[in-house]
Amino acid sequence: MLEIMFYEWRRAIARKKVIALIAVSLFFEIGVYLALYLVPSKTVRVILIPLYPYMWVVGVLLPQSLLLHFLAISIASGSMSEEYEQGTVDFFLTKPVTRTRFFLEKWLGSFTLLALIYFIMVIMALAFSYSMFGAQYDVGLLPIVVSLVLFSSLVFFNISFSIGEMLRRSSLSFIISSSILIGSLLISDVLVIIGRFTHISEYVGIGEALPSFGATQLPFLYLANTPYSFLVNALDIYPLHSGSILSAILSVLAYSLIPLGLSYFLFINRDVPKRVA
Amino acid sequence: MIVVQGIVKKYGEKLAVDGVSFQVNKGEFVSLLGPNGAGKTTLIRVVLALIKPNEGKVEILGKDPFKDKGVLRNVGYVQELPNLPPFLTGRQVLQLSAKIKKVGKDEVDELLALVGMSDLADRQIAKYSKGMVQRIAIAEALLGDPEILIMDEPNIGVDPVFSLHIRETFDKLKRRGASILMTSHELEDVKKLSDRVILVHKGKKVFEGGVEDLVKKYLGVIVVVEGNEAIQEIAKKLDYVKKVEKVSEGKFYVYLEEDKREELLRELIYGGASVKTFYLSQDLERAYEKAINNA
Repeated sequence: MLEIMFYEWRRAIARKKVIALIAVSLFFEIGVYLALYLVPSKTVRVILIPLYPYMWVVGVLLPQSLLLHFLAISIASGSMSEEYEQGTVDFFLTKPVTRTRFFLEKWLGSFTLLALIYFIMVIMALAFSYSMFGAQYDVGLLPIVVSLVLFSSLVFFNISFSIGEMLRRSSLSFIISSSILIGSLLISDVLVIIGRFTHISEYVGIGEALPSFGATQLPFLYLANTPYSFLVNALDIYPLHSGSILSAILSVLAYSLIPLGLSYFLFINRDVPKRVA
Repeated sequence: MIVVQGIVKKYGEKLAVDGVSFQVNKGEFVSLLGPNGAGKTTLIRVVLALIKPNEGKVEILGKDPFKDKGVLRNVGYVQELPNLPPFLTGRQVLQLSAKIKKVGKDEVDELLALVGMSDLADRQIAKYSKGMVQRIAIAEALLGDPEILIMDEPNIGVDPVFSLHIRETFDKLKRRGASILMTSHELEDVKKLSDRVILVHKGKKVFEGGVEDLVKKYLGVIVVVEGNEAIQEIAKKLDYVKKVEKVSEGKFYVYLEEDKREELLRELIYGGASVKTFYLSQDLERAYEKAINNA
């Protein structure tokens, strides 16, 4: 068991696009900590000093806003589709491997790889924050925050994974999923701002109904009422906080399970074509 | 044993396979012939449960591969232009397959040696030539000593020496009781390896039988006789001889109305002809061409 999962790790890492995004994410993490540590302005430093014990939050939440979703899209878009493009799906499905096992292990392999990369970022965040800013407080929240980040990353991971299976084209899956992410973020930002100014709740409601809401907001909503909410808000890509934790969880569940279920159904019932050119 | 019954496969309005049935018995080598687009690959993909037919059913070793994927543990498959994970090495491909099939790893080295890839086994698939990939694919298909071997154009890109060598391996496998189904355009291989051929054209089965039967059906009984000129004179007088054709100096094609080879040989010898060679023509290429044109 799990041979296909380990194979999936190797397959994803063999892709230059994934490696480039991992490198960018890690450099970004290092860069942000160095920038905060070496900040030359005394005024800024005065503002930051009370937040030094919570600097772990920066590295843990920073990838959540955008980078982690792009990484998720990058890994998941090729997971199924590249097997068709390279014709390697035959290699597995002509062996004693059920379609359900293949689908699950492919999904698991891609998602555990994403989780592993995120864990590396978290470890880096902890290492930098302790070494540069001294003792860290509220680190007990870390498991919940990490879980929420990974849970919310399921939205674009599953959308991308599913489009890859449905269209059987990795580049199309990447482009469409990225467009949904960016489009959804921009539209919901505008809608929430309009809603707040006009006091018409429907705008905010529509903004919260888009996939980016749960995907980008869940961990931020959880940390919204902490003493370091200033830091949390600074890391948030959403303009204003809205919605509840429950609505964010429901949004993540809906936008991650529906596409996944649909693509599983299609994978089980569709013919496996010869190599897709 | 493979049993294929009344397979119908449509792609939209297009009928790719139209009610094809056949079986491959234990210890039998069957070749599936037909021009490009005849439906051979579709049939093979149906057998391997990659494509669901609109009608009909498939059994491998008495089991439905769509319902019981476990039966594929006993099946080796060589894909047409094998698509193996390009980032893995040849050895890693075999090791991965061995793990999935639950086959001992010691077989990997044996099979790499069998296909002459031991020295190149640690190179990535992406860096192999077409022939090398084909060798790895054949080795991979032979893992676990399969009871069923299915090959879709296994000779593409391989050199003649390897082709000859691997033919012996298939023969050994067949003698051990494996059922082998192959599609190929290499009619020389088909002639040498096959117990039976199945000819498909435009999705329909147009012939099933031995190579000899195919030639007889479409070209008639042609005996190749080599010897002196007396052969032509004696054969022409026989009432069951349609015509005699001189192909080259001392070589004749004798076309018979029916299979009366023994009588012909007897008449030639009693008639005083010097017969050096006497055999039934197996001009599969011409028979194949005629069968397709007639279909």
